Amino acid sequence: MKIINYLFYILPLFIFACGGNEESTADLDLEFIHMADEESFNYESLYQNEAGNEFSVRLWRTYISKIELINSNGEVYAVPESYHLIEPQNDNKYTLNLKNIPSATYNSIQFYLGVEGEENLSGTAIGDLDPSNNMAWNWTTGYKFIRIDGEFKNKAGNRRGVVVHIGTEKNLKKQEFTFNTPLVLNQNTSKLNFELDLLELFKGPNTIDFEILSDFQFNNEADLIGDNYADGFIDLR
Amino acid sequence: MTKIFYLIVITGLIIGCNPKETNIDPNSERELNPPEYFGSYSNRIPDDNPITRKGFELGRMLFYEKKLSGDNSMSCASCHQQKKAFTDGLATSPGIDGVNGKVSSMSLVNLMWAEHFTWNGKFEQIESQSIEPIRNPIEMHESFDHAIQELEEEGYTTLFQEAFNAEEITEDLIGKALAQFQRSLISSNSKYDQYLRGEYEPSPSEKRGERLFFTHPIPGQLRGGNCGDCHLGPLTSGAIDGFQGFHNNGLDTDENIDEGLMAVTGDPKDKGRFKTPSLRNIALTAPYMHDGRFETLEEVIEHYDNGIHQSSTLDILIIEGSNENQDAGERPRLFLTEQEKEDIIAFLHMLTDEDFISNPDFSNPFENENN
Repeated sequence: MKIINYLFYILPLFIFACGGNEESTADLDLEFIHMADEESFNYESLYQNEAGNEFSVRLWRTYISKIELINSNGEVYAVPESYHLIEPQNDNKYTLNLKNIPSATYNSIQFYLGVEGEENLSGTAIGDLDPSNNMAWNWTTGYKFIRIDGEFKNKAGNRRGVVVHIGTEKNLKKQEFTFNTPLVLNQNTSKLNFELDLLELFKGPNTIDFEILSDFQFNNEADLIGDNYADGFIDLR
Repeated sequence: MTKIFYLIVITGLIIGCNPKETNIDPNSERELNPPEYFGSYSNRIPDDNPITRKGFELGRMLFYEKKLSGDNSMSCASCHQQKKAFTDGLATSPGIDGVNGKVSSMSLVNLMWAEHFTWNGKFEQIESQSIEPIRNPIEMHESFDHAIQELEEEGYTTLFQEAFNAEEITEDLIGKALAQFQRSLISSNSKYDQYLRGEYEPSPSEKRGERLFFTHPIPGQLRGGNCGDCHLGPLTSGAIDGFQGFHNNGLDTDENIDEGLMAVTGDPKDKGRFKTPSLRNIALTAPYMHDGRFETLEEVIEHYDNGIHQSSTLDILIIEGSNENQDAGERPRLFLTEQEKEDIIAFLHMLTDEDFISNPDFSNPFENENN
C-alpha cells in the first residue's frame, strides 16, 4: 500500500523530469543527393560543363542555413541553430535529421544557400559552423557558402584548377519550395529529397568556360556563380 | 526513511537525465579551455581515452622517459623539445643507433584539431602514432616487452593503475597516456591570439602580413600570399577531414619527388602530397619542409614566390594562385614584392607563443630531480 503511495508521487516526476513536452512532435529527414545533371556525382568521374570543358572535383561542400517550415495556417517553424554543412558522403547523399518539429500540416520549406545572419562573421561555432572545418575565410569575410576544388586540362594540355569559393552576403540565396501535396508531420519520421546539380553552377544565366575563367573566389567573378546557383542548383524531388 | 527514499529517486532522475553521463574518475578530467575560434574539439577526443589529470601526468612522464629507448639515451622529448615548440632544430634526426630518419621531426601543437599524423599521414590517431617511434629501429629502437619491464622496475605500475585502473602496463596504455599529454599541448597565447582577442594591436607590417597570409590573390584585383588556402584559419594547419590537408607544394618535379601520401594510399594521385603542418611557433621550428631543406622563413617564402616545381600532382590551389596573370603551363609564381614578403614573415613571427614553450606543465618532470 505504501509503495503505491510513493508511486503516486514519483511517477509524475519520471514523466516530467526529462523535460518532455506534451505537445507532439515529429522528425524530418532532409536528404541531399549530389548530382551532375542526370548522373550520380562522385569524386572519381570526369564531368563536362555546358561550355564543353571536362573537369573533375576533389571537394564539394555547401552550407545551408535557417531552415523554416511553413504550415497550412501560415505559421513559421524555424529550426534552431540551423547551420548545416552538406557534402557527398554515403553514396553521394547527405542526410540531415531534423528533430522535434511540431506536428502539423506543412505547405512549404525554405532555407538559405549560404550562412545567413551575423553568425557568418562571428567566430562562434553553432550548428555546423566551425572555424576548423575548411570553410571559413576569416572574421571579416565569413564562411565560404559553396566550395568546389576541382581541376581540368586546358586545350594546351596543362592542368588548371577549377576553384569555386563563394561567400559574402550578396551570394546568400534564399530557396523556397512549395510541396505539391502538403507534408503531414506526425509521430513518424518523414523525408524530403533534394538534389544538388554540380553542372548548374556553371550555366544559366552565366555559361562559364573554364578556358577563360576557372577561379572564382571572393571576387566579381564569384558573383557569376552566385547568380547561377540562385535558381535550379538545389531542387526538391 | 521516506526522505531518503525520495533523495535516492531524485538523484536517480538527475543522473538519468544527464545526457553526458560518464564514468571518468582518475581524478577528474583535465581542463583544456582552448579558444572557441579553434573550433569544437569534444568529439575529437576518443571516448576510450579522455584526458584526465592522472593520465596527463603519466603521459608527461613517459614523454620525457628515456627508459623507452633501447639504450636509455633518448625519449620522445629528444626530438620534440619544448623550447623549440617540440621540434629539434634538425633537418632529420638521428635515432639511438646514429641513423638519421628521412623526414623532419614535426612540431607538436594543437593536435586535437588534426588527424592522420606524420608527414605522410600513416597514423590516424595520436595513440598509434605515439607508439611507433619507440619501436622504430632508426628511432628509439626498443621492444615493448623490455620497455614495460623497465617501467615496472621504475615503479610505474602504480601510476598506470591510478590513471587507467589497469592491472598492468601495456603498449596500448603507453600510447594512450602519451596521447593525453600531446592532446593537451595547446598553444593559444601568441601575439596573433592576443590580437584575435582584442588584447594586442599589431604593427602595420603584421597587419598587412595577416591579410596577405589569408588572401588568395586575384590578378589586378586582390593581392595575396596564398598561404591560407592550405594553412587554414587561426590554427594555420591543414584541413582535418580525411587527407584533404595533404598537398603537393611544388618542392620537386615528377622525376625526383618523394612518395608522400602515396606511400599510405597507394594512389599515384597522392604522390608528393605531404601533411600541411600548423605554422604555430613557426619561427622556432626551423629547418622547414618535410625534409628540412629550407633553413629560414625567407627561403620558404622564396620557394612559394618563385621556386615552385611543376609536377602532375602539384596542388591546384598553388597553380591557381598568383598576383599576376600567368599562362597555363608556366611555373606558378606569386610575384610578391620585397615588402610583402617581409610583411608575411612579420605575421609568421606573431605565431610565436612564449607561454607555450615555457609552460611548466609541459616541461620535463625529471629535470629538478637530476639537478
